[in-house]
Amino acid sequence: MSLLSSIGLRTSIIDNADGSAELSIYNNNSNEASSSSSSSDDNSIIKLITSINGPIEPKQRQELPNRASLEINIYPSIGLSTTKEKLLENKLRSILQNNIIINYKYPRQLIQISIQFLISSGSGSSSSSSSNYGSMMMNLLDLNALINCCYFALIDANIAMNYSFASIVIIIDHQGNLLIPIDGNDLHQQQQQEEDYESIHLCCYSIIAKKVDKLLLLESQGDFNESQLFNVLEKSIYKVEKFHNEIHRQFINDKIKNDYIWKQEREDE
Amino acid sequence: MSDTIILPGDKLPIDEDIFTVKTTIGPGIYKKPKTQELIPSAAGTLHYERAKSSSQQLIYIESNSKRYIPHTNDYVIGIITGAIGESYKVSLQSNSTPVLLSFWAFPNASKKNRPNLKNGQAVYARVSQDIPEIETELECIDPTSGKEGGFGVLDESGYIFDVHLNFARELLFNPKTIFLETLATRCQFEIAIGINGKIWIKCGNGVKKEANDGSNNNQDQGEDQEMIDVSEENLKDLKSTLAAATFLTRCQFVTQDKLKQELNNAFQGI
Repeated sequence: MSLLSSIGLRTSIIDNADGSAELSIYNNNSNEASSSSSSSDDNSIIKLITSINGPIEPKQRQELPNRASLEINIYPSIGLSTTKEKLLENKLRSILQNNIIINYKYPRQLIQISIQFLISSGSGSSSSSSSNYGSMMMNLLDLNALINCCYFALIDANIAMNYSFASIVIIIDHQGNLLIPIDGNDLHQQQQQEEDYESIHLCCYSIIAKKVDKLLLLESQGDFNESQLFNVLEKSIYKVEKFHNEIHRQFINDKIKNDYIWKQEREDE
Repeated sequence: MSDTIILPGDKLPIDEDIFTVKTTIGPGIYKKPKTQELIPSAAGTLHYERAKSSSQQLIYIESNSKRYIPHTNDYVIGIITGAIGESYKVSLQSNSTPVLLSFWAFPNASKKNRPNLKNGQAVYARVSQDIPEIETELECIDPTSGKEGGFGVLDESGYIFDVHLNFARELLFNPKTIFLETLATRCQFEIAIGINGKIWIKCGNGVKKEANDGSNNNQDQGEDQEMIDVSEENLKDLKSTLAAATFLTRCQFVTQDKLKQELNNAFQGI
């Protein structure tokens, strides 16, 4: 199921997990992708699966007396987990642990989150990974996909949450223009021209009553000044609210239709 | 009563003055301890009930899940996994925190007359205490009559399988559910439905082991024929039990106009 032209989403794909989600981020320009050797078969740039189990019985060292403890495992698409995955885990934990999940509902319990990248950004292009700018952008794009996929998996697992959340990545090029990957721009082309980018920013917001409420995470890398940062924040708020009102709504509508398909007399489609 | 789809972070369409209007909250609604504000904590279908003339309102969110969280007065199917002091340790779901079933939680139980349950046996019980900070407790006593009331040890010749929690609620609380009525047109069965997503089912004699295995060496033709008949009957019951479980599992994923088709597929060859 494809919600928009650039995002693919599936949930409840793992039977043994309480909640699971698979998120794919595609190239918009299929013509250019087919002519490039770095393109993968399903035309994805980033693809990952998140599974969540919980609340379950914790190990004694994980137990917290009046809150749920969180276990996060991140596995890369190539090789073994390294300090990069540990960094992603710490950033994800800073968002989920005390902000989003209502910990006090599950005292002395464990919520287990496992994330497996199937395709990482830049994994198909060996030249870009050697670039300093390239590795910065790859990390933030992976983190962005990981945060959004966790939201869908948490909804699927029915974990209690204070509010919804969504994250977005914005790139500033040398001319000072703001570019947003997966939103009308061709990310594949940008990867090949990554030397043109001055900085990259990731913003993750909480959403209450369909409006952006708090900034949960702001991760910036590269050279930028204060006015550029405020421009990034201003533009990202609009994009995140649009993401929530379109993709999150569509996702929950489809999920409820699938969960209660046995209530329907016949297929709608 | 209105049904709308709601996400965490949305604003609840209720009377905000929860101190004047008596408000009852159900699953999916969370009352913030600091601000006393009601927020939706789950994504699903919002159910809101308020009588016109009444000063009371009820609100809850219905959603599907696979992980069961015990609540008082739920009927559950558990597996005995051990004994601690004067209680049995019962598992309601794999990897979940175990719950306790006291030796005294049976009808007419006393220190001298205690139940004799072994590891691996299945019990149908009612949740009697669900304080989140301490261990949940079960009972096998009907709270009104003080007798069994259908609770207790489940027959070992039944078959236990898992379903989603919302489907289990439909089977248990909807007395006219189409799924059990459709199944009843095909075979007779006994069923125990646990809100924790486990269902125990048995058709006829169920999946019982061969009772006369090699115990009768009599060469009399009549008794041999009788043994063959018993064996065939047991095999038919075994197939029916598994087919019924397969049918109920498939019901979760199809619309109602395909029930007949799924029933025929499950009972094919029986």
